[in-house]
Amino acid sequence: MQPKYTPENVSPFLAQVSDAAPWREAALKQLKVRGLPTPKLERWKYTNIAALAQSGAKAAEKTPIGTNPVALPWLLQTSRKFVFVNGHMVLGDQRLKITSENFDDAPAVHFNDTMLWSLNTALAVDGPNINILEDGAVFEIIHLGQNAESPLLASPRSAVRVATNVSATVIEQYLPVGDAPVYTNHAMQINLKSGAKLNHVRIQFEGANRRVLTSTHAKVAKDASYNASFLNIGAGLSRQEYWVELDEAGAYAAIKGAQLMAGRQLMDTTIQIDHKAPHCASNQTIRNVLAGEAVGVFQGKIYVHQPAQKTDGYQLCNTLMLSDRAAMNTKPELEIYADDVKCSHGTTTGKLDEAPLFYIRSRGIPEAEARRMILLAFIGDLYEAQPEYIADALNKHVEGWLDYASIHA
Amino acid sequence: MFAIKNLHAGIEGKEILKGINLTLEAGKVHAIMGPNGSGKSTLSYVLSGREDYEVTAGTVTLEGRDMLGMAPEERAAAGLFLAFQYPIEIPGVQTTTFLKTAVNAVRKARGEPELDPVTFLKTLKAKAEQLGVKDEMLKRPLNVGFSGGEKKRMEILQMAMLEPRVAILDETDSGLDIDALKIVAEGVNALRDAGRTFLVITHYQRLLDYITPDVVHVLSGGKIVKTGGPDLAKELESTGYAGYGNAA
Repeated sequence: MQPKYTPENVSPFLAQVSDAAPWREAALKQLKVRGLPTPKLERWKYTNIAALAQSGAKAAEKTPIGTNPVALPWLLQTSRKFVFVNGHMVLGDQRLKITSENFDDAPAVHFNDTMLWSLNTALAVDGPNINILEDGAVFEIIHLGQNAESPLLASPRSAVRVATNVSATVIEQYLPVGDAPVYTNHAMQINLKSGAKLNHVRIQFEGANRRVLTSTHAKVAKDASYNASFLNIGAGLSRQEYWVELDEAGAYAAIKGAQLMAGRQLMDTTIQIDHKAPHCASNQTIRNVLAGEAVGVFQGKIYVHQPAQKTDGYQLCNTLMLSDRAAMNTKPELEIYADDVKCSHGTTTGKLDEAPLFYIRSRGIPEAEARRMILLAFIGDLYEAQPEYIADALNKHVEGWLDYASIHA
Repeated sequence: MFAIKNLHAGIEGKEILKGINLTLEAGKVHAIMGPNGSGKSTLSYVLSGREDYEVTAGTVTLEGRDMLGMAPEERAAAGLFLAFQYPIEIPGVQTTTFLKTAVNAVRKARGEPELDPVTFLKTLKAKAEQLGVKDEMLKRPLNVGFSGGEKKRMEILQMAMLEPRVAILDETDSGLDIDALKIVAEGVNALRDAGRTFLVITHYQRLLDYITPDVVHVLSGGKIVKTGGPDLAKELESTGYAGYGNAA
């Protein structure tokens, strides 16, 4: 029987740690014992990243941007902009670079399978440490990969802090550049002070040879709200983890997004929301569309700690299968230690419903367009609350994917 | 103009229509009445091309063109329209957008230019007003949260926008109170014209008080068992279907 932890699979990466900064210590210690996650771990049952360990990937070096940053697809002209190339920050306010003083507040020690987070902590060199004090501020981060001869491991790191009663927006985009086998392992720490609001948007449309792993850890204080929206359409393999801790009364978190996959893509969204204080609410709304031989994963857990009375936890995952060869794995979980809570979860997985399809076609609308209409409607309401410039960008990507999938389904 | 000859059809291997013969002339309203299970809804689905029904024999032609080989959208473009007994809710698709897409798809298939947005909206508003469909309904997702009466009015509005040659109304009176029924009937009557034919499928005679048919057929056991004038409907109302055998 395979052991649960395989420390040897991480040793090639440990040899590449650039310095012995004290804030790397805990991460290195964890990695030396546990190694990289394997399917033996419950939360890694469906997504095997063994290829990362076997790839011989080298920690990516800092390279120049190699493209005109103005030409990148920014969503808002007036936003404050950061660019990562292969995990290194090459554009952005230098004063915001992560330093040893503020680098170490992130790891969520009570999660037992945070090895990717630790791997990032071991290897990350720089990244923005965004302190948001100005109400209405919009920050954009673009992740680029550059062509490489051999596999690379990029370790972008970012931290976002939103001050008391401030509302802000952070938009991340993962762009397809070149076709090199690059692994991206992003760790993002988010702290919301009391009454703060963050709209965190992630659009991932990486190239087919990319592997995108993201760990987002958000801590939400009193009456603050963390709103995450995502759209995943790219990368051969992607795994995004959201760990949200609702630390104080009145905290709120919503994670809404779609995974659209075709060909032989694997997409995994794994969420844990910890309700740690009373009167907190959370909402997970996930939609998946699978074409080709794609494999989808959704694991979502609502963990209600004993003091978290009057919790309102909601989770729904709907999946449409466009192909008989695709496979969807869903695992909704509730773990509740308080006795006065309201929690619900549900998942549906099915084919495109024939009745609406026939109804639409009977009005003269061709089948392909009728399908497109139903799929757009299936995803569309996820982004209804977004400001127009964000909703437009998301919908444009959705429509582009539908065009692609209609050919590759 | 619209001819159904010896139509046999069924679902999952079970034959429901057992040789239907009907000829609808332009400008006429034909009613089909029949007990539950006689094949009324099957007939409407088979004519409009629902794929889970299988046609085993017979022909359906519209002005000589074979309909059975056509996809549902091609039949719509050729001029066939079905007002559904149970209109489907389409969440996320605004009613106006849906109607515009449908009208322009049909126009395109007929080789006509698309309507410009201004003309389209003007036409839509005028027809919606006639049917008592409020602006607010047009902004909502199609049929989502509509009452039974609103859904039926929306079916007639779609019919008015698509201007079919053959309009099939499947149990359009079901679930309607008398006021809603009158509005729907007025909408249908306004669309009666010399170039159009109606096939009104109904269990009860009530609808036919407001949409006066030229010809009434009785469907039972998957066959037309009797044909007559408007009086036949009234006769059925008093005698019931007992004399015509029961379910298929």
